[in-house]
Amino acid sequence: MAKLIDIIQRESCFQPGSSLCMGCMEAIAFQNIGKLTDNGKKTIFTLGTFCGEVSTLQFPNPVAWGRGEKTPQDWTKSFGIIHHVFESAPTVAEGARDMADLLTETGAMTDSPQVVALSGDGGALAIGLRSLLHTVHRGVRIVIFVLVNDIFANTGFQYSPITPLGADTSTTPVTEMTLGNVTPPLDYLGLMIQAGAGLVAQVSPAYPKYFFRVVEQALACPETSVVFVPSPCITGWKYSDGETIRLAQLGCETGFFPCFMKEKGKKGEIKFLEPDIAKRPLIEEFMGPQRRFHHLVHKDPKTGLFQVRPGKEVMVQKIRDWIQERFMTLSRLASDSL
Amino acid sequence: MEMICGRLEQIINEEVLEIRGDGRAGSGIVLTMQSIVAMAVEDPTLYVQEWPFFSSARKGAPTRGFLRLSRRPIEKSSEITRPHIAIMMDEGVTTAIDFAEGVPRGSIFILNTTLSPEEAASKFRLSGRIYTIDGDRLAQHFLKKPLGNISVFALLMELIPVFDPRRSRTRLEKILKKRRLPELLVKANGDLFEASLNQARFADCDYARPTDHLASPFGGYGELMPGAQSRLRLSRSNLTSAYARTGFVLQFGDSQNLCNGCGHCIINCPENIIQFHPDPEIGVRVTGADVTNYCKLCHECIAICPKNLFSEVRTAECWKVGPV
Repeated sequence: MAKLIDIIQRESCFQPGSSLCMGCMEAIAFQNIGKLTDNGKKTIFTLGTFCGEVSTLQFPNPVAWGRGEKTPQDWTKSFGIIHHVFESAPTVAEGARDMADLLTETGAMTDSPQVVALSGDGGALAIGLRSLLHTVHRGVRIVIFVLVNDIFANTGFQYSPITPLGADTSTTPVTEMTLGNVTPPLDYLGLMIQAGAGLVAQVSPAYPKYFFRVVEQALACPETSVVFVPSPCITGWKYSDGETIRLAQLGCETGFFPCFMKEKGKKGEIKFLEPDIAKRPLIEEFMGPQRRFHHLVHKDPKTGLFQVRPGKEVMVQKIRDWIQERFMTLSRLASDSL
Repeated sequence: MEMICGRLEQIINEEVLEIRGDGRAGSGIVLTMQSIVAMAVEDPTLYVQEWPFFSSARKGAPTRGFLRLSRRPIEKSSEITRPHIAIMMDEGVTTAIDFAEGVPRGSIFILNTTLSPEEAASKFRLSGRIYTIDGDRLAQHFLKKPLGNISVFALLMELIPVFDPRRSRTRLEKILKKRRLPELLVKANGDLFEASLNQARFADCDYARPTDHLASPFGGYGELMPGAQSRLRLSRSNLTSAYARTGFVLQFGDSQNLCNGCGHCIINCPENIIQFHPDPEIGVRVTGADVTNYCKLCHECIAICPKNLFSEVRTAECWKVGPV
């Protein structure tokens, strides 16, 4: 395990010049994934269509990816990028892995590369759930990063299967009659464990040390590892500048997307989330700054604290129940050494 | 120089009034154009055509809006290259594109800026009637956000003779409600609209030299493929510091050597532009950031630094003349 101070001095393959929103968590994740994959091996990235792909690989200027002055012949710094359609990031990665293994077996290639698939939550869990599930099921030695921003951010903030309860999206709007999303989110962590992934984790770069540890472990894993990266979306969640990291931390501490890691055959762990509900921050603090929960939580002008709107207690209680229910599910999964 | 501002009604009746707006993703150029359309469709004798243009670039990137308005059927559907009214929604875009490109002499310019019409005209070298409105300041008062779009919409309502500014407020609020803005915000926008009426200053100026603002001729497809050659691909330069809020810049000050080497700013900078050097004592010592080229001013480093070494400062630098 490399030390944090060494990792941050490495060269990232994600360069400035992307046209992502200011303060985008996906960009922060790419920076750190780019630094973590600078470990002396060639890396092959496969990208499905998602925000982080369309805004960094614009045709005349795919400048956001690259390692500056390094030539492609510099094997330890070299990397390749394959872009494919929405659902195909895991399957294309699988193909790249098979080809690399074949070339290594025949002796045509001496150093085996590492293969990393990047995908958004809509691409991976709605459109591409089939290919994700089958790739995990086949146990290919790749790392799949799913950048979870709870919506289809690229196409205009539509509902995705893991949009939280009550969230206002383009396709689950809040009107006089409706209260935003009413479908409880898919239990994607449990799903991946059931499919037989070698390592399943949910971790955000807001916890750098843990993020680095998990990703290094994922890169070393001999089976498929799936890492979900919660990425607060400044435009889709509609919050002010400079709150990305704070919301990522609050989201974890309130239980919306707890830090979680489980390796196959070992006990898992839930991090940075108090088992005791009384010790956790209130979920209103997480929901308040985001305008997608504006109809449920508002800022009290007198006290300056975020409060549940009168008449919306039932929905907020539903969210609390869902968080607790999922915490119990995750605890059960973590205590199992399957 | 023939001014067209007296002829607007005639243009709408007999020709097609063409409006082009330059702004940034998030600066509200689309909302302005759509609000005009919503006003126009109320009048059954008006034909209207509107579409925004933007690339896959996100918040802060240059965007363009086109609008045609006429009492005759509109047969053109091309990009507007010689508009009667040119709008500049955000001063920051002038560093990336030329909002006055191809605008004939004597046309109307609408600028959302703190400058006076004469200052703006000499700075951007414009010829015609220049209207300036300080929409950012007005919006800061009502919305707590520097958004000039409602003020520009109010000015357009006053300018275009076929519309009645008194009825625009209800239409605007209807559109905002459709966009599912909270009730209070809709009301604040309505108030802002009314406060913006009669706030614009104007002057007739003639500063453009014959060589200024010429539409660049088609230079062939060159080495790149045809799709890459589109003049409308506005994000070509990819110097993303133009996405940042206009008039502000990130500043790093560590005169007392307070940096404790925690590295949080380096890890959490989306653009990877924090400059540092290894330090035997504390690991890494941050020395600054490359703010001139890529900083989008996302405020993450300001929020995360435990010693509050980063700050946002007003700058005169950002207001310099772009490559016009």
